[in-house]
Amino acid sequence: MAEALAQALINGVIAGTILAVPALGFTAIFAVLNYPNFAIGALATVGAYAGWVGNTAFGLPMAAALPVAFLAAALAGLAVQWMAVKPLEAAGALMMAIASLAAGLVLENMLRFGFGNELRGFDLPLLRDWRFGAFRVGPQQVENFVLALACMALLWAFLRFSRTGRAMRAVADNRDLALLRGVDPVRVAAVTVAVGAGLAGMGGMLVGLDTSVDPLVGTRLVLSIFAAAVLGGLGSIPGAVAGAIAIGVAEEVAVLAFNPAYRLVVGFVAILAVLTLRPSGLFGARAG
Amino acid sequence: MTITRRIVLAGGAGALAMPNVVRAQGETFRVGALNPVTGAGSPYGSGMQRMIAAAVEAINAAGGVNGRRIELFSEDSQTSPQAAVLAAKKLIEVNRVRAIVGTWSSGVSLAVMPLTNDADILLMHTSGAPALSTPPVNAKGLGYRFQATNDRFGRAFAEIAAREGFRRPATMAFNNASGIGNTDGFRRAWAAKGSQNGEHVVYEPNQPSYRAELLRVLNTRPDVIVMGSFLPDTTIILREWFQTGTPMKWIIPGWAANPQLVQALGPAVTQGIIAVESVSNEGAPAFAAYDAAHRRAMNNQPGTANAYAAMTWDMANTLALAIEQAKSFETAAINAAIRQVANPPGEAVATFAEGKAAIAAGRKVNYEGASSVLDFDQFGDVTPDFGAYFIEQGQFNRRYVVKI
Repeated sequence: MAEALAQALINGVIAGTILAVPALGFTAIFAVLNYPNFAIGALATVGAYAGWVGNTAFGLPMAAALPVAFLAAALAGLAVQWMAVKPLEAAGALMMAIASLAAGLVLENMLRFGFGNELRGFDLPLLRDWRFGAFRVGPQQVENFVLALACMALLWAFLRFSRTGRAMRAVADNRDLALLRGVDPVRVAAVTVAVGAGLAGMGGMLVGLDTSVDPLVGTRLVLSIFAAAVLGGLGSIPGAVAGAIAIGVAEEVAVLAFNPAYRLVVGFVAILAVLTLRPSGLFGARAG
Repeated sequence: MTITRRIVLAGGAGALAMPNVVRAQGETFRVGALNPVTGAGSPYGSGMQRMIAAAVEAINAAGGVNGRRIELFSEDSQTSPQAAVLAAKKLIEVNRVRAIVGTWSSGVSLAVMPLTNDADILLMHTSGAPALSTPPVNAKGLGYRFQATNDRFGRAFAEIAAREGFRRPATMAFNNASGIGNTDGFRRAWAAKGSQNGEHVVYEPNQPSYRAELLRVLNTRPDVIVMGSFLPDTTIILREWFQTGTPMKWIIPGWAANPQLVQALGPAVTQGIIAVESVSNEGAPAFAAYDAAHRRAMNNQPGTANAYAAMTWDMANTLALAIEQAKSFETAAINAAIRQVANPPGEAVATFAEGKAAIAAGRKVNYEGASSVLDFDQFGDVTPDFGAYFIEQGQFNRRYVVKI
């Protein structure tokens, strides 16, 4: 049992780290634009298909296909923002959330029209797990883990050192003050949406690498992404990472303890518990 | 002569007095085709839809049913109960169809049957859930199943597992009526053989990974895992299993272990998987007619490529023969005639035209279908045979046929 638990922890941390990439995108958009962008699942799917096309049609290795996934999802994210969400800005966060949900459905079905419903696999050799005593871990899992960490490191450097990144943090911290200091809100919003959607796209591709690519690959993640962001505190960057790892581990461990049919409950219970006990989440100061 | 009001009225009254068939010349008998063109059933849906259309074309060419042409309305179920319910409502309320044929996947058929029951029309489906046989779902006996029940699939799995000499089978089921029906059927049949059942895991659909569920099963060291599953989840589970490097076999229903699975995973991962699918009635004349139609409509693909298309071909023919037999367009009369035209005794017929001629000559017919001999039991279920297909170098080789 202890072995199974340790194995579940390993798998959970890896799954959570990958989940953290789209969760970061989701929470970044929430921090700056103040609405939950539920198109995030479809944007992850866009990224997964873009990476898949880059890999299978142009022979790109994974590290080179990831920027393709980022770019495609960023463009799709901007299209969603400008065509669906922005016109409803005056109607409030709920309307923007609903608009993003609808735009996500449109995107998903556009992919379905373009690529069909078949499952697509990346052009990768299927490798056997590495075994360390009783534990096992897949080379692909490790590669995805490293790529996810690299994405997060890049995001951190961007937010920490670049002028635009600092402007984004400023708007997230105190919008009015940032505007007074001459930050261009339109530009910051556009960059945030592009980066957030791009992160979702990379997350979708990472998940697709490990499983397969189909029109629902991102939609399957939405509940976990949302739960991770809420758990960490909506709008909190470190919170999204911590929340994602916690959700990843909880989902894996739950299968050991309960009937796997109840695995989906983990996300809902996490959201419910946070909203009841600590509405601002683990790291959130402002969401409360 | 001038047309007076009196002549018009007399003409109208005369027309009303004429027999049904003459008056109905412009009318048609409306049928809805509701098939999984997209979603998990998409490898089969287009073929199913086209074979209904091809059979209806042949029926109309043979003079139609009771003097009426069959008019077909086609919808996509998207292999989704919600979408199927909307489509069924449209077929029933807008198109006013008198029967719906060709639903695939138990979730869809379970959702559609209450609507067809309310509208008092027939539903012919290819779904496996045992609940579709009996009340409350099939309360009016208007549902007909052209595929084996999941329970029978489970029995076939157990026969094959015993024949292959497996001793420690575990089961994994997709959490719906079909998936659980398969594994429950297997576990019952396996226990009835006096053998011990292993770990049983029911998993949720639409997960990005099934590693945790799979490890839970693998930790019990089974020599075979029997699945009640669909294509997307099977793809992920098999990929993750291959990565673990655990030597072990699989028995999987044919709608999940199909050429699309091999395409997604490659021949190395799928080597040695046993796919179990009901076998069409391949030696029969009806199959030859279906096969020719399938090749014409589906780019010269043989009819054996899609067992469900053979079922829908049979649906159109059975329905049309029952209408001929009933000499009525009323559901109750047609329903009463279905077993008369499909079950023995009677003159074996392979096409609608043949059956129509025999019925006109006053003989009792027994339609022997392309999908099976098509004899319905008291629940409206058929019992086809099952093929054990071994995947070898990416090819599906049928090693033997199991009868239950």
